[in-house]
Amino acid sequence: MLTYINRDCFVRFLRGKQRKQMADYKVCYDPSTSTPQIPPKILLALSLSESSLSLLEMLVSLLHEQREMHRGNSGFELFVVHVDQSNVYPYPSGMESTAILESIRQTYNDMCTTICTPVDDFFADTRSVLHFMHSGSDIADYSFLADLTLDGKITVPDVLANIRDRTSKLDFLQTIREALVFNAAKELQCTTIVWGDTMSRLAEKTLSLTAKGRGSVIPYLLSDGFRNGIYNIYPLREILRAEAEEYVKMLDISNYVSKPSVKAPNVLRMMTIDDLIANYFADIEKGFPSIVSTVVRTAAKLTDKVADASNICALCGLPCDDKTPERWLQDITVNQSAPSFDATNEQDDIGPEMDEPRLIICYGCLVATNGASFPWISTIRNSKEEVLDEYELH
Amino acid sequence: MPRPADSTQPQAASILPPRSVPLSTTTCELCHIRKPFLRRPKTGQKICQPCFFHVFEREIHNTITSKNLFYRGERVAIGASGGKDSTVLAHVLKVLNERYDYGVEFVLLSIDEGIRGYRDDSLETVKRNKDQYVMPLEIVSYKELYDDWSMDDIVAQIGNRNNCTYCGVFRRQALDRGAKKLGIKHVVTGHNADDMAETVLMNLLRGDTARLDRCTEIVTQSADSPVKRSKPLKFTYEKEIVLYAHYKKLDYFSTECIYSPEAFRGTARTLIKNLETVRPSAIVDIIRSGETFALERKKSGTALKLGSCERCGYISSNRICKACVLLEGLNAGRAAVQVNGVGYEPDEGAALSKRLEHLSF
Repeated sequence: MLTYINRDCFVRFLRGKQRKQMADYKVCYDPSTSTPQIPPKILLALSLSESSLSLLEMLVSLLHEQREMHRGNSGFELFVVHVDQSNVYPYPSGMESTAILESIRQTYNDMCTTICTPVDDFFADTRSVLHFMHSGSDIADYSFLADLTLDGKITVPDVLANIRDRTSKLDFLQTIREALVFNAAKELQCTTIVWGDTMSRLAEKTLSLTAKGRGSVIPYLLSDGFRNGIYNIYPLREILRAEAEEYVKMLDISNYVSKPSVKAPNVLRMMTIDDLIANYFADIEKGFPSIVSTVVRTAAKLTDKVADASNICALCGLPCDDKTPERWLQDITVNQSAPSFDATNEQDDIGPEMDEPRLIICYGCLVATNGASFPWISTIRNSKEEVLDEYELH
Repeated sequence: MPRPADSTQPQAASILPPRSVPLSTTTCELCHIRKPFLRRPKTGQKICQPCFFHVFEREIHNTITSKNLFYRGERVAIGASGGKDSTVLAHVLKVLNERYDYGVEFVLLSIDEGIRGYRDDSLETVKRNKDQYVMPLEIVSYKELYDDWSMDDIVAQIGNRNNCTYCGVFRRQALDRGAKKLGIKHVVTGHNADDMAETVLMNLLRGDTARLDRCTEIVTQSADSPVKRSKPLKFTYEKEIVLYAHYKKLDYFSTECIYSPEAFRGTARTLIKNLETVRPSAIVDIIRSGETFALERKKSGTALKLGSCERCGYISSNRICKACVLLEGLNAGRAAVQVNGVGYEPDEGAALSKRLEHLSF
């Protein structure tokens, strides 16, 4: 792969790929007055991985160039947000993400505004979280949820402790991180969020969303486009992870890299779906090197069927086109005992009438929450005994 | 202040049981009467044998009725290879046809690809199935359809690479021709949930957009085939098929094709097996994802013109059908070999592979 002649060529080559994806963010002048237009605010979700650090460096270099060429004007204003999850997954010894952020802040002082959000902020203002989760939802009956959490004592580790399945646990953490990034974007009035996912990561996400039954949101999540009223871009979609890692090394910013010390276990049963998919790509890329780009290109051809859906999943906050995925599961999974009577008396169990669900949960969350419990959400229906107890007059 | 887990179980819990089912369960989780006999691969439930047979058959029945796969009086061919999937399919369809009175007439349809040491043995199984299930049997062979070419001959000529392409194209046409011979317009095949999930992943990995959004359809009816195909085992786990065949003591042939599938497909299969270990619902989850995939199709100005192949008369959108194109290449190769005077044993490739299999050090 790395056959470039020298460092400058390589750096220029990668920056070119990123700039191609962000061609719209150039300095614009008002045609009538020839004065520069107010640049849009962009938020970079910085995980402190090699990829997001590469993107930060690329954006800063673009800003530099724009300011030089346009007498201090730029095509965008850069904000950087990092979600600090050290209370869930501690960072490697001696690596405090806040300290790293501070040095990033000093290095890029005049180029961007850097903020750090603790992951527990997710539960700090429940109402806003719920508002985020259900923005666009036509269901208003969520007041009981707010009541459950108003005391603000829930922490993310508390919630994660209730999720036994490691895949679901990490997925939920990711949902929280993304929600916080969106909240930050709204607070800072950013109109665009840039994500540091490389082509390798996008290919992994495509396969892992498919494996988790979330295939319907692949185009919505992984294409550039509007989500929750904010435009999302993946500027590194043509850059491989290995290239981003090389870029970080070449530009000598690897001391900022800080990954949570969460290692994939060696026991198959304990691995997450994401671990398996990452291992799969690592193995198969040796024999079939073009596979990553094939998967990403194929995913880009999928049609977004959920973007206009009015139903929002109460857990992941993503739109879903099927309000009752449990019915699909029920049709293909029989949970009845063998009849001890003549088979012709069997009841037909196809498509039983189901009440409109109180909360909409998408298929992906339905299977992910199997075996988990969410302290602030209850989808339990009233049992016959409860109803009789409450309404029957004695 | 999280509430205890059991008080907040989402609705999903009634469909897929929580993984926290206590290990000390002493009765079947479905009937709560008999002793549990096995752990159900699809859900992890510990259930008894009668309940397993019941849910297994009932799920296939649900698939058939909810998708209206058959109509009363229909004649349907079961693509029978003698392997576990098609044997279980034939058995279950016979049972369900009688139990729920579908009024369908089933016929076994087998393809003889001409693979010595594999298909000849499995066809013996199908012949026994014919008597066991009291269903007529029709065998169509590559040799009689395709200029005297058997798969062994083809492999001897082209080697082990790409031979699945030939076999796939030929089998598809052979099934159609067999069905036509029987006057049947509907063939059911034993593709199971694992096969479906594997196809979804393969199409994503290969970037096969022509098939990606349609590969999970339970009924496929394409313009270039006069026969409708359906997969009643679409949601049935392979492991459950193995268990069912084992406990029902079904007579099936369990050797894999000696011309083993391409390495790439093997990697997808391994990935699915691993995913299933981590989350048993992964197989249906992948099918679910596959069902939601949609692609914008280019609207071509002219509709696909369907004619028939100039050589064999089979339906084709091109002047010459795909099977005849492949045959042309094969025949050209055979001529060259004969002109050069290099003789070859038709069964050489297969026989050699078979011999190598039995070698030990």
